[in-house]
Amino acid sequence: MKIFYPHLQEYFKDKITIDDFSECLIQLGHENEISNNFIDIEFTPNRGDALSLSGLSRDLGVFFDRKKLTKTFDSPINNFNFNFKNNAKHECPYISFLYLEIDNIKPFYKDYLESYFLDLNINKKNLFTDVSNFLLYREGQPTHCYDYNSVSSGITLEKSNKKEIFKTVINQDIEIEGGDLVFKSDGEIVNLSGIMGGVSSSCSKETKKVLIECAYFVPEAILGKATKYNLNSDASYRFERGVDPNCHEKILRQFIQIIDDHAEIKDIGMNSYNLQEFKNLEINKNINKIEGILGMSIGEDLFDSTLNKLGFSVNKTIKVPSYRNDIVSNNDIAEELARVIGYDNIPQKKFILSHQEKEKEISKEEVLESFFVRNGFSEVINQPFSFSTSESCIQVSNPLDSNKKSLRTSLLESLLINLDYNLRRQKESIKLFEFSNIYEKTSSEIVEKRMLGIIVAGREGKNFKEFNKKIDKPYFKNILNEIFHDDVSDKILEIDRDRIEAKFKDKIFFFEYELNNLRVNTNEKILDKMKLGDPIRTYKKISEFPLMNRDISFLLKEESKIVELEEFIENLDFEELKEVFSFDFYKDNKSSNIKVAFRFVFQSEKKTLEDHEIDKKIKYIVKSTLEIGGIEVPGY
Amino acid sequence: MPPKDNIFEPSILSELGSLHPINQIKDSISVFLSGLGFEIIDGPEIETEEYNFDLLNIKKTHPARQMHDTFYVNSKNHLLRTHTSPVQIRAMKTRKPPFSFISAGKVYRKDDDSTHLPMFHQIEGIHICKNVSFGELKDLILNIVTEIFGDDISIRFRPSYFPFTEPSAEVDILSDSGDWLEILGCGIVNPVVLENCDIDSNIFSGFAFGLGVERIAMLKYGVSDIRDFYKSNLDFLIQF
Repeated sequence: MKIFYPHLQEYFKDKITIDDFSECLIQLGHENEISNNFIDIEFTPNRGDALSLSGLSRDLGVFFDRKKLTKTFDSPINNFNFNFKNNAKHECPYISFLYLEIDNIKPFYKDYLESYFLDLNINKKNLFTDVSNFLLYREGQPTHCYDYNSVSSGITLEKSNKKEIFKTVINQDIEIEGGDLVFKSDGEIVNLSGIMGGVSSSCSKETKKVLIECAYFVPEAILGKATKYNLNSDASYRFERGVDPNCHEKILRQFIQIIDDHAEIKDIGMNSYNLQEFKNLEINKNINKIEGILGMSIGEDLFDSTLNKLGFSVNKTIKVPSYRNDIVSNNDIAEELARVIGYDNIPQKKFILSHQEKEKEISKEEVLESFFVRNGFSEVINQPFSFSTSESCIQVSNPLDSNKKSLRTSLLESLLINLDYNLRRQKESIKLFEFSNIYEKTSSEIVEKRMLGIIVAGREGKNFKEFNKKIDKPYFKNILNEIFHDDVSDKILEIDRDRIEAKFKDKIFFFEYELNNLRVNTNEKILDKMKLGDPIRTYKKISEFPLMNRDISFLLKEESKIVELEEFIENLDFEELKEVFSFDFYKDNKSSNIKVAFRFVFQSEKKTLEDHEIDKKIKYIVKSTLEIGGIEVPGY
Repeated sequence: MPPKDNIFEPSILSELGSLHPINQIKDSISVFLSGLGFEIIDGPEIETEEYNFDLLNIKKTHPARQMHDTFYVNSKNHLLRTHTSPVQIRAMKTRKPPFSFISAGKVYRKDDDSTHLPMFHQIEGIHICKNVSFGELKDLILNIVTEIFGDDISIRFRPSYFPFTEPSAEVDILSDSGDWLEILGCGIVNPVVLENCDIDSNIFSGFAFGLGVERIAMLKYGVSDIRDFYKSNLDFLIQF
């Protein structure tokens, strides 16, 4: 909600800066941002009472002295004899109607009303609707204005019992579903209760006789309806959070006063239809309990004065004001005091657990992840949503993606997507694992199983011993046999390459097993993992530009030259040089010559590299290595 | 260069794989908290409305229960848990206080943009004992935050609203750019929740807290798009 700073300032005796307002509002739990002369406030869902100038000033009144601002019509008002039937008393236990007949509308609004439209850049509609909107901003209570001539035969509040078309005040045709709360007149829907009125009974500039409805709807009766019909309104936002059930006469008298400021009132009538008399909730006053909850001493003076400023009456009990439907217990009272004291001013109290738990045991997952990471596997995490349409799948009733409306029954689908993603980024050796749940439905229950899934493809590794070997079933089997007690090789599946989009010639292998049923070798050393207090590592943003590979084969006259060559390569300082590894090594025992080949992988963060840019760097590498002596570069 | 068996062969670059950064953060927080004495507990990801909402005092009117916030499954009879709190509820209903639990894992909400995902990770803790106070909660939270972000971090507590805690607070840290960034929620356990778990709220009280693991990981590593964690890009994963 956006509040214009000068509007809020008017409620207080002293000049308060916008920054002071902002800071105090944050202390009170109203997160906000300042933009120009506006305070944009994000309210928590329990504070419907604060959604107005008046509500905010009530809260801020604990810090700053308030002025009495609002002029109210205080003459007696006749009872208004109107044909209203409330067939939904449980959903709307408190409702009042005000009838006004006016004439001689003044051509200009008074400053207080004019500034609302001007400062908030809101278009005027007609006097009655404008006053209703203004009161919503100032007091937080929605009112609805009907052109009296269109509802003079009477109004019924009821739950619709069939599908009906309703034309809203913004000329939108809505099909109202059965069960929703509506006001009807002469059998026609004139208002979708608490959300939006209809065009057939709306006021215009010519309206002289008006019926103003001021209601309290239980939040459950309104919640979700505005979203369902895509009709979010300021009124529904407030009704969903709960409005003051005991404010109707006050609000309607303010309505009359504003009309009186802008027109000649010829007739007034008012009537309330309440299920029962409103009774304020009372909570036993227990300062010790509140002090115990907060862990600090408060004292009776601060306790009483704080609650009084917030509108509570404090004696032996604490009487909760009608607008605070969020306060029901001493814990709520503790929060009221804490907000005003300031959470940051509540002293810390040393927290030590007296019931120390046993030392944590090493889990099977820790053993497995240590083993796989040591063997070059990387862990992935995937979402559970699947394309599968199998009958055993659990269906998502409201999926984000209509193509993925079931929960996965295997980790294969997601791991194949991960493999495909990396293959399309020119990765040559891909070894991924995931621990995750899968979900299945049997005739009687839902089953969740914790699984280990592994997918492998491409080269065994990026080094001269493994680069020329492609991952095959024996390689994968050997790895699994090293960590598992039992031979699980029958669970290794070769996956059809057609299941991925990337062009790929090598074999793809997948393994999946329920974690509970796996027996692992527990002598695996657990990885030294990151600790919470370890220094922050610098993360380098991933480039989406293509990799460029260049292979160079070096001929070394002496084996000791390998040390010098590696030192030189290690010290290369090219921004685009992403990776270097030796992929081939051969020692000719007769000649003592050594052939060693390195792959230089280049990638820019800013663009696709061109051949001539790489060639320049390669020329530098060749020239420099030749200068070391005892090294030749065949072909260069 | 890494050590090698034969100094006259090329070095074999250390070809370690990697643990997922989210799990690294999650595990490191769990290890820290279990070191303080919290017991790690676990539970299902598919939950009932009773455990995910009702017993946590999240009323039918709460926006979180709407179809646009929660994934309902199995003909709407179940849901994907929206937080790890139901794990704690299940433990609270079967154990006698005092106890202190943490539950960590995946949670699901119907959201998808550069700062929100339909699946993310939470770590939640609960401590139930006699005479538990907000002052003790503050001490623990400050301990956790300084352990993650260092002693120099500026931190503030501000009131918030969670149906399962009262008073409730959100905790912000001050970023280098001068903005306050929310990192966790916490509060005194609402007595209604204790009673729902058959714990006498006249004798026992407690506090609870919850951290979003991705949020912590993004701040700690400087990752600006939450989706990067779940693309499974090897270039990304091996950096952690």
